[in-house]
Amino acid sequence: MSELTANQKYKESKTELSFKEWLKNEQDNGVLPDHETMFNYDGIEDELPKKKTTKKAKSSMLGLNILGIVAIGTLVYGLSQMSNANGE
Amino acid sequence: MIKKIRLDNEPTTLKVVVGTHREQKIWIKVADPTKPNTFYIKRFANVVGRKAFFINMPISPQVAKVIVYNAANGENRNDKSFKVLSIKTLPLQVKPLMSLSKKTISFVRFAEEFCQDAGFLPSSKEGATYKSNNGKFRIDYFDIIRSKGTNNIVGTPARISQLTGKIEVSAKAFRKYTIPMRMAILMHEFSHFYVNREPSDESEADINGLKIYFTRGYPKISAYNVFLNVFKRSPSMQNKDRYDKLDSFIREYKEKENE
Repeated sequence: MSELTANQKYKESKTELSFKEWLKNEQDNGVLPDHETMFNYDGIEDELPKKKTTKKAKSSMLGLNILGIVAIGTLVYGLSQMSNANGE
Repeated sequence: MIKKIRLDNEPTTLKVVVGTHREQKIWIKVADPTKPNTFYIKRFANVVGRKAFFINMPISPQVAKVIVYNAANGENRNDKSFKVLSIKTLPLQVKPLMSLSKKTISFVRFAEEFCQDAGFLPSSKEGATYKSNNGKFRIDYFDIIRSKGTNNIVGTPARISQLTGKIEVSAKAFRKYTIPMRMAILMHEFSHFYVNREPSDESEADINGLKIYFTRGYPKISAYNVFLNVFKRSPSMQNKDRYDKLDSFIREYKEKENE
């Protein structure tokens, strides 16, 4: 389902504020994105910034996990090498 | 046929009479020969026999270059397929639709100055800024307009900030438009922020913009041309509805003019 536009949200809010005042309040309160909203002559609404996908977040977590495993492996290997050297 | 006509920057209606033996698609263009990409009209009509073209010019250059040619033959000086029977300058007569407020007059003056020079004024990727003499109005002239959200190129020729009233214009679009087409767009943008009861209403901005545009005496054909030009690239039910509303508004205005 697509997100409501600022105009649609304004109409739904049934506020007594003017559109400009309402928009400024919503942007100041972080409810609406604070990039400057424009009326385009061709009537097409501006695109919103792209959100990061969950898939990308998962893959970066996997990267961290691999890095952690390699680091622990290296530490264990280093410690065992040291204990071997001390035992000789 | 190319002819230079002295207009002395005065508001004028040019009457160009063309004759043909059989149906020919005849183009008429009026340019400022001293400025690149600066046309006061670009229009055509299918002419059979004799036809008078009336070109309203609320603003005009010192000297205008009138170019008339047959679409089938291009700008050929020895074209015998048509004849320019006469070119006359008449005083511009306008039936104003409204009395313009001080603020509107001030913006119109700024917009007309910008539109007469938009064919060659520098633009940039970040937007070259132009301000009215009173400092109240601002146009940022971009090479091309990009989405504020994604930075992708967007097709709109102009837009206005909902918060500040700052107008952004695409040089790529404006350089190919005539002066009246540029004016129709800027009057629409101005109306969104300064005239509309409902600022986000596109149709209200169209009609309010046209009221100012016709009150100044700009040609009806250029109003149609700019809307059709932009809407054909952005076909939507909203834009179809906008076109129907402005078409009936222009027809009503035409009827009032003929009363």
